[in-house]
Amino acid sequence: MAPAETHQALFYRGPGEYLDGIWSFIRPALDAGEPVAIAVPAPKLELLRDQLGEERSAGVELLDMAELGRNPGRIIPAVQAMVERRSGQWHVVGESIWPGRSPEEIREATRHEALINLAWPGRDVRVLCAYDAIGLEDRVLTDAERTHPGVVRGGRPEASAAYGGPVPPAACEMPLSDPPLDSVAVAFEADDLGRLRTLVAKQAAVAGLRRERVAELVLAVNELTTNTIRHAGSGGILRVWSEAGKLVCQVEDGGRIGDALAGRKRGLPGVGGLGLWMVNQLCDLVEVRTGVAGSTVRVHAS
Amino acid sequence: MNTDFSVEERRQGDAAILTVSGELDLRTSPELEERLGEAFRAGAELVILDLRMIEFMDSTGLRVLLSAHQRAKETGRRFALVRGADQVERVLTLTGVRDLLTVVDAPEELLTAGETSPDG
Repeated sequence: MAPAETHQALFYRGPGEYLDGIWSFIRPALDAGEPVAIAVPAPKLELLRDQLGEERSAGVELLDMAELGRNPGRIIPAVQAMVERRSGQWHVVGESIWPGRSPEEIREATRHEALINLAWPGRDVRVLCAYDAIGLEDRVLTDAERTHPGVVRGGRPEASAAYGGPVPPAACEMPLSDPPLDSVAVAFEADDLGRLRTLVAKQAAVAGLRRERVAELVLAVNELTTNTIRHAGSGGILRVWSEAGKLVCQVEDGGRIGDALAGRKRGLPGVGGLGLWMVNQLCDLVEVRTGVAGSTVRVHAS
Repeated sequence: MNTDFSVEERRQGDAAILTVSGELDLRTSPELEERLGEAFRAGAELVILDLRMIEFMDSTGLRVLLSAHQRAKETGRRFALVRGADQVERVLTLTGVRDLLTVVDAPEELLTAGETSPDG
């Protein structure tokens, strides 16, 4: 399979091009009895279900991307799990970037798009990613040309001249916004993990998170601070603040996260990588900046 | 913090029942690992870890559970958990570790008459 065919961006203008583009991608797979999954926002899912008809819909995994890809860091492991469950040449349609998503979410979804190019070495997986060419900003579409080896425009597939490999575009590495001045900042060491859990639980409750979400965020932040103690070789800093009904927590340390797919592969305890994978599963958005100077991981939960 | 962490062990025939209380994290997991190791070394055929009194568990706690499970498998013995509170269940389910382990509601479910000694 040519690289341009393994991961394509479908730039669609209107519902006609949307349905045609997806249909011509999945039809050969359906005819051949190969597995197909479609993960797009719920309203589009209805559109596709109508197009496919009841019989064909039954053979396709239809998933609401607003839920599955709420945190874009969850998409690769979800596809990985599907591919492991059923063999065959998988055809996966995804729409993880849509008009109205926040700039932070679009940034992380763009990173996800770049990492797809690394995600399934040697596996028979073809991915088509839908982009609303009318509703999305030009810079988002330009980045999609960088993250996809192939593009489909006006029904014509071709190689993307701008393809930049599995490296996320520069926009993905933009520095995170400064934490607000009223954020809580705590320097921590190994002895402080319990105290940090108490702090996060209290702040999350004040921010109005449901009891289950409080527990999940406490677990997520604990995994991050535990990683700091285990891997960074020293303590770190935890910052916590609330933002419009959600709690944001940020862990900074001197360690470097070397694996670009960290948190996107499901590990087992002790093998490594499980903590960050859990964080992705538990949080609505996870932003990671890492380099020789250290790492910052910012998580959002509402 | 974590001062209330404890591991209590009782023997019943060939079975060792360990009850853990408090928070199971990076600080406290080594102690549990040590105590589980002792129970296996002492020859228990069945090791039951009672999680009902656990207030918090993370991936380091999971690692201890899995290594006990592994050890039991390799030495032809049994290892089981007594179901904990929601937070503990959430961690086990989220990671898929729950599917690998035997989980019961109470130790008695596993303690058959044959394994109960009179002085239990």
